[in-house]
Amino acid sequence: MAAAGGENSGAGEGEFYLRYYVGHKGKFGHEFLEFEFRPDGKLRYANNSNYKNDTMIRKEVFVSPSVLREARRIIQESDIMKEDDSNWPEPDRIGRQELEIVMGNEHISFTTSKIGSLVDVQSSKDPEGLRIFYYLVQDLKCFVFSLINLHFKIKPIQS
Amino acid sequence: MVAAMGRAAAEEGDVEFVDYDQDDEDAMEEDGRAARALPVPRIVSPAVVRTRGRFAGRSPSVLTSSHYRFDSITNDGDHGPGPQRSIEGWTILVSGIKEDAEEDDFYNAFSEFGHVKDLHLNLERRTGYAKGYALIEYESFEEAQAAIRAMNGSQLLTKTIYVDWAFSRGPIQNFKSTRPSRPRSRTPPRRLAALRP
Repeated sequence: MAAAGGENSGAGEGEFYLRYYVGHKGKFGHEFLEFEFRPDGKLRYANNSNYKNDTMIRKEVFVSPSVLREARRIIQESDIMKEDDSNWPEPDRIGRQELEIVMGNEHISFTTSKIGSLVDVQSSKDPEGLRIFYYLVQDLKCFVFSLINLHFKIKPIQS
Repeated sequence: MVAAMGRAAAEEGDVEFVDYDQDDEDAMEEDGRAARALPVPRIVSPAVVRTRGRFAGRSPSVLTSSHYRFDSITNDGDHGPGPQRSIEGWTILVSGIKEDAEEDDFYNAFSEFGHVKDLHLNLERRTGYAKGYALIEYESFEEAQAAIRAMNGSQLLTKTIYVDWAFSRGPIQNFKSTRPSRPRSRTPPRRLAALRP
């Protein structure tokens, strides 16, 4: 296991925690998607859509240090840790996103509304920062969906 | 293969670094937090960490993990450390991938070790180029292991790639302690009740 990696010292060591949540409350109840990487490698994933059926998908698996390292690299390269959510749209009735990351001695805990497209990003008060968030979230979701899909052979439902 | 395992025992371990906030009642009501699935561990020691963000300190730790079962896959009879089997095979992670890599490059290179059942070469949303990693699934442990041994540290498209198992049977050993240095706050009563046999 130790063989793989070490190529990116900035993303390599120290504390790490990642949690992402997106959801809203509507006529189908509280529908959301949430996942987290814990420092010991536990990846947890929860997906609730009450549409048609009433089941919540909850999966967990331990990922290898290499997978954790890759998550750190994606975050590191996004520069999200230098951003601030103070000028981002507030969560509203349409929905809420939360991104919480601990990496090294930095801790961010951001929240904003759902972002439909780059048009929303462009028209916001902090398009540069929000764009970083917008793309990072998609890249992280893509990574987690692949991990969950390959491991459990289930397809996530988009909240 | 998929077993909804009784997680109660395992979750006791989680409690080690979970610190439940009691000041979250507002957030709970306003956002319907009662349906949240993942309790948030407080792994940050405020003294050494710079925190930013509007949501800081409002981490919604409403539901304890013991209330919910998270499905996982169990290995038959083998409890030691090591790679974890996925539901239909064995999954490996390739990292250090060049941005202009394409699926064919991987399919060809990794087919040498066995039938590649599934391959995800994910693209960066902003650029449309490869994000830098791929996940590959083989049918057997031996095929996956052969791929790791042969390809880890090798050159693919002039770049060194790293290949390793994607999933583990247990927690990462020796991960940096995330226990906060300050004393933990008292366990909320409802939490305490849940812990008692």
